[in-house]
Amino acid sequence: MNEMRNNPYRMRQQERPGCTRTENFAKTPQCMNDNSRMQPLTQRSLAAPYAGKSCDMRDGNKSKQQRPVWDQRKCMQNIYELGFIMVETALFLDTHPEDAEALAYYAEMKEKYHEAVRFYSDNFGPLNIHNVTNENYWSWVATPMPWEVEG
Amino acid sequence: MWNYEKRLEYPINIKNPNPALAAMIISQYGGPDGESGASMRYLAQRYSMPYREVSGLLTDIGTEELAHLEMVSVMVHQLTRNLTVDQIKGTPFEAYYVDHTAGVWPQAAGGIPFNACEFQSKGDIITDLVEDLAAEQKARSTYDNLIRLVDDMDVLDPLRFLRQREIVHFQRFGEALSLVQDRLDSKNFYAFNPSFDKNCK
Repeated sequence: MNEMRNNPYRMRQQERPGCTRTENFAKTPQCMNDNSRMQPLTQRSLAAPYAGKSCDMRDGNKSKQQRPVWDQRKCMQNIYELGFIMVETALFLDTHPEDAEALAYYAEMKEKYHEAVRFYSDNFGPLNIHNVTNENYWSWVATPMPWEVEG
Repeated sequence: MWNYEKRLEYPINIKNPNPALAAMIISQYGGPDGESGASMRYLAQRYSMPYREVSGLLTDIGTEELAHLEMVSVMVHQLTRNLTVDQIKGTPFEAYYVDHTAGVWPQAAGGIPFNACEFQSKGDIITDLVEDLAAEQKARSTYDNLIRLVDDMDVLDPLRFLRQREIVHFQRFGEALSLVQDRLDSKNFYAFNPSFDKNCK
């Protein structure tokens, strides 16, 4: 069995803006092992490293173990910002459907947003049920619900 | 048709439980000017809107209100997470706890259950849009009232975001109303209901 092929969180080869890759990401999530399917991904990678930590990204003294958590936060922050731009611009366009500047801005941001969502899904689990790509486990139920973790 | 994105519209991470505050914030879930009423109002009114800009706007704002409903639920949930009975006793959350434990259920801060009479769908484009404008201001006032009660930054931050969205929605509904009036008889906007009196122009 090719572990990497079946791992939905495997890394893409290229870097994406706003996110820094570390090799820790490529590890098979615990929930993908047959012996520990009942163990949610959150227990291992999210909940524990968050406890009592500040979210200051400028601190360069983070240990290697913590780095994936910060990077996931950074990717999610990117999605929050781009997602907000999408919502806000769409409402503006509903009442200004011919505004060329807003149309161009929406098109530009839509690309970045979809790219950010795709990158996040490939590395940290699906954000949308259509992003589920794995073959041996339904990863939609492996990642935490939005209220379980620090946003 | 809707798709779910497994994230909030705006991040929420409340570290300290506060059942008394949860009993107040629940009002923006199921109270008279809460997000349940907001989403149901806009999504219900869409069908009698004769102009696509307006039915589109109601769809998109109604959808965003569902995301706000989720945010308010998450605030209530995180404020009541891992509570002990001693933390509940003597707080305004006590009565809610008897009926719902720490589950999320739509009611007003005063305990009144959510009721469809908290919004209207009148089938008249001017009536409905004016209701929508008022609804955004009523929700904004409620967020103002909540913000005055809160000193926890983890709670204040998402409340401020939600308050700001009410102002943006008010602006968009105002534009929708003026777009509608531009297409009606400027001497008498009320000459006919374009949603119902199909033979009039």
